[in-house]
Amino acid sequence: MKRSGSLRSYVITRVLLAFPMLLILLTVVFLLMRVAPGDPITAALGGRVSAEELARRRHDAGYDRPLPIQYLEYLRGVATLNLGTTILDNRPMTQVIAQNGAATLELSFFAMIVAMVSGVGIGLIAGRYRDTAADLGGRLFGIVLYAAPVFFLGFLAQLTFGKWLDWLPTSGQTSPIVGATLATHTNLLVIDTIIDRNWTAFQDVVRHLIMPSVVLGLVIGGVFIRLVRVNLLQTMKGDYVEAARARGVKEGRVVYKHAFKNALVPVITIMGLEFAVLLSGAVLTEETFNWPGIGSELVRYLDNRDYIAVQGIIVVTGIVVVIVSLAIDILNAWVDPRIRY
Amino acid sequence: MTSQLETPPVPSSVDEDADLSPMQQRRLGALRRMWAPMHDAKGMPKVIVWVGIGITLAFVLMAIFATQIAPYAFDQYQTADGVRFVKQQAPSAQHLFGTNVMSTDVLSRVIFGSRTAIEVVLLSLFVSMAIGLPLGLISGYHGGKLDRTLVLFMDAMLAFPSLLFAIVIAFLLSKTFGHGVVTAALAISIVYVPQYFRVVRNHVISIREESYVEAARALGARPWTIMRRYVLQNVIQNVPIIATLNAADAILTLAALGFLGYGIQPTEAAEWGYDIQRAISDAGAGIWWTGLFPGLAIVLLVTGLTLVGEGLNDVLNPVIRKRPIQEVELPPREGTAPVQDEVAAP
Repeated sequence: MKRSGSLRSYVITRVLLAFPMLLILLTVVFLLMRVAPGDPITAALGGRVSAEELARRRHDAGYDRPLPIQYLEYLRGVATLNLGTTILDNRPMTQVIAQNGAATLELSFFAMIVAMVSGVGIGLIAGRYRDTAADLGGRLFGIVLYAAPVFFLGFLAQLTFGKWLDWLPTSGQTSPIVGATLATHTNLLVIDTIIDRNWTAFQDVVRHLIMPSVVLGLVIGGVFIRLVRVNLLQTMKGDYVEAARARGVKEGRVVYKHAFKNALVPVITIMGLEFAVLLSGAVLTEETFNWPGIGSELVRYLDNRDYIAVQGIIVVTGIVVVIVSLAIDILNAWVDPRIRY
Repeated sequence: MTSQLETPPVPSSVDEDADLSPMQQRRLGALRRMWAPMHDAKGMPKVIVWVGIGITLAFVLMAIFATQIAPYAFDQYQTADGVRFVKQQAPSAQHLFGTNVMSTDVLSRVIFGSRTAIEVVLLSLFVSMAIGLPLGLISGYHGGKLDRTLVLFMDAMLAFPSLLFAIVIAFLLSKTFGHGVVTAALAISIVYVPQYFRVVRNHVISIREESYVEAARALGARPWTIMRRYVLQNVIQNVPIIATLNAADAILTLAALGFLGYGIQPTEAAEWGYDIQRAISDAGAGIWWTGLFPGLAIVLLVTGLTLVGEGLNDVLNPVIRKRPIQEVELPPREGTAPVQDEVAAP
């Protein structure tokens, strides 16, 4: 297989590959939702409205048409970003994504920062001082963090910092009063309060954000610790590290100047993989802390058999995942020329 | 320099089974080859593996003898004479770990929870391996269009947040299979099939190009024979690592499903994730025992399995394996000729 090694051709191939991937995801979601007995309308409203009303609404939504037609309609809807309205509370899906998606984005963003700082830091120390107490401690910390479900850590944090020390609020995105008076511009509350220079609200929002994002961040960071450590160990075996050592470069300088940077390149790839983990973790964190994100909405709609909402949320998540993995791959190819085969 | 002087570690147990028949020796061979690095492992990796095995075994024993160990049944909320347990009672002599919001004994639910966890993990490992392994073998060995399609499909599955898939699938399956072990295990297996597929396929692709496979092909071995004898034998060595790490992950997924209310229902079996979900609202009241103990059980079991997997990886993965380098004693200098020169001479 001979291909030109230019970045541009890599990007083009990768973008073209993203489309079939997206199509597969969309198809799987569609099939899953149709495997469910009955159609979405009957599942959500069956028994609650008259038979004629049900038939009318089914017809309006197009569920009496043959499956291939429905499939094409569905794909057209996704392509035009028209994901319908929820059956349960009649919200347009775009609104669900904008409001609850923003809450998830806020949570994930700060969690990712916590994860990077804690994970990469500890991982590098553990790898640098291999087989010492620091290594053992760092690895155990990473393994235990990995082993702890995010909702269990959340439970412990709520108990310790919420109940016993009474430092931080344990539930929701804002206090009820602040939430009722807050003006939303971007739906990202931290940014909204900064725009309005509403510092009391800003403080309230940040205080609510700390516990969920630290808990989620630490759990994701646990995975980073293991991977960064192994990466560093592999890099330290590299020829150029050996060469630097042979030249008499001091061990500390070898590690910091030669090994660290290269050990961190694969972390970008891992970040891409971790993004899906982050989203899974976000669902659990949101449920634990009553965070009004897209994950807790998914569970709520699933509880109420609102397939339109469930399908919409999963489709949007899928699109985001594909875009993020595409972006990370391109970033990776840009950083590491070996990847552009 | 030292690496050239290093003498290869002598396999310590070669002569022990000299009296076995060749057939027996060959069968032992595969196992021994898998086990040999474990035997040679020194220091931390070895400790890690054994600590992990110890923890895991403890849970397995707990699961097997749950009925004998647990003071009460997992769904028992009253004594034999019909006196109801006190709700959310702090740990006491009667209930060592206290009782929860459902008035059931926390200790008993933790013990029975290990049975549920291990049942689900075994079933889901079996199912996902039974699908992922053959698909990976065929896809990697044959290549071509089939391979490309499968890879694309599995990558799409792999990219998606697995928990979301598991929730939806558990929700759909629960209509047919109820809210028990089978539904949870199947939902979890579907999540792990792409992982097995990917690891096996990538491994097969690298093995396919090895000279011994080519030699077998040149000798006229059938594809099925090559796959079974040369490819599968090698691929299977990696399976313990993936399996233990996936088992750890599966326990977390099971707990997550339970936590979100799409796992095992409390009437079917005891499940740790579900118990923690019920305990979240206790945190505000300072009731710690309802969530702490099931949580610790998850952390311990997952840690145990991860230690086994990580340790095995440390021991088996040649890329990060640290081979014991034996001390080389240089002969004492005689005359003026430096020893190094002799060693370096071609």
